[in-house]
Amino acid sequence: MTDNKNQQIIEILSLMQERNITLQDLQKNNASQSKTAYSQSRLILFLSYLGGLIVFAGVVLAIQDNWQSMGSFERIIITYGMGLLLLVLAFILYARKTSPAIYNIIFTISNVLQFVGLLVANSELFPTGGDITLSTLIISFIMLVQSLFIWRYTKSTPLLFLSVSYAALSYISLIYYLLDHNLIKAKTWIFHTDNILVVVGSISCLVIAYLIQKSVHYRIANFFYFIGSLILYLITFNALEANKLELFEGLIPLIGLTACLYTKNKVMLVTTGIALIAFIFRITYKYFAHTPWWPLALIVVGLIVIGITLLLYKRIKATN
Amino acid sequence: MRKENKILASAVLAPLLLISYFVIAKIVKAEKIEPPKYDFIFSIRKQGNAKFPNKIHDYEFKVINGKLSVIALKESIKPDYSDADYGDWDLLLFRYDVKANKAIQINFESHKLLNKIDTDKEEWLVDVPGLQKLTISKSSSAPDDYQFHYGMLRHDLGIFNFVRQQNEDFWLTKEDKNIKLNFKFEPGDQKSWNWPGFVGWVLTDD
Repeated sequence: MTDNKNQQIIEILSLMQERNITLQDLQKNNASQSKTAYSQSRLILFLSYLGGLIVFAGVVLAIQDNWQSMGSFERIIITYGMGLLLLVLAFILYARKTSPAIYNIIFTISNVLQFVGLLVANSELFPTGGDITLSTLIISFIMLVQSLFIWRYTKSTPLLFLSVSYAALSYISLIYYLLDHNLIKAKTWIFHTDNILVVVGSISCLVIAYLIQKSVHYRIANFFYFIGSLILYLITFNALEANKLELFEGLIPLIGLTACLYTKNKVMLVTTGIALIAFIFRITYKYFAHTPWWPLALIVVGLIVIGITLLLYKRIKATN
Repeated sequence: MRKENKILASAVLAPLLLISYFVIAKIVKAEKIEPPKYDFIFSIRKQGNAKFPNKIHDYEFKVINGKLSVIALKESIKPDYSDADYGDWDLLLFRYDVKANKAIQINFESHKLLNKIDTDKEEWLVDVPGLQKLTISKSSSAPDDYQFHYGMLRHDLGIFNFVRQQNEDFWLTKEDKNIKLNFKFEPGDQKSWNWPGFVGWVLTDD
């Protein structure tokens, strides 16, 4: 430390003693200032998205009012063309280092308009619908590549959200395209092939959500935890029930609870808890519905589950 | 490679590898299955100008002693749930040649044949000229185990049922082998769960 700096510190300390200011007072003041700055940034983000939504609603209404009078070319230009125009605008704003809240919302609207524009182009080219799964696969894959490219360049969180969503849509479309064209078997072992593939896809979605949670984009992780776990439980429950294996359904939320220990995510914990309660309710109703002990058994088992969930939640909170 | 990148690569590759496995497994198994040997007969109901005798609301095919006949159904025996009247629809018959992979229309003027019938009866049996020499099996599977399918082969998709679409393809299927048939509908053809109607497999030509 230079002599000059030492001198300044001595002056500050003497001033603090003179005015009766402690180090704790300084820390408190600093914390309240960063809290205000955080709330302000959240407010700016909220207002920018609200503004973006109102602009988007206006564009949608304007297009809707004139839709019938438009030709195919005009319909494509007003949707896809506008999307491309907004993409250029978003890149200009990004290059000029404008607020991320502004260019993020323009990137998002541009992306949605381009996706809708490509769907419109498809419906104008094939008025009878064409091959819906193939069109959805191609369109969502094009949008996936584009959003991933822009995300890699800008590191914008909404574009990562859109990229994962397009990846999921491409995957679902690919499964049903292959099934429609009989390129994969409809059934594998005792399960429907699409159920197996969707279950593997939803586990991948949860893994991706886990990685997002650990990154700077953690705010969007909850959505993918919710979608991934919801689809996983719905599909596995339906598949096991269809094969009269409903007693094994309980294993799935138990595996989910174990996974919650690693993901430490509250949303996944809630969906897993609901899945476990739904399983217990269904099983007890099926086997004990006409016995006087059923309501009591249900209450006791329910309380045990709530207890386990609470313990797990406390453990997650403690390790956080 | 960082640990996170390895996890990400596994999450992306696992579903794609599983899909590739299913596609390759199906191709390999299908290659081992013999091609179909038996032609089959199917019918299309077409909106047209045919005029059937009054009181006839529909017709169906029956195989009696291996020979194909058309049965006209009187209105009085129409099932309660049916409010459809197909009395003025035309009935087209096709033989699908599996070796040539094309459908050949059978000369069968249904309204002319059905106009000759006696309308006092409940149902009428009408022989189909040109098909009398054929021996037909009404079984859903051919002797070589192939089956005829129309439309989508996949099951109800549960929460993803919104991606289900109308598919107008004709298929011959056996285990892992699915052969898409060379047939397209024309305007006015009826498309529903049971139309086009599968009539039967051609066992012999004499």
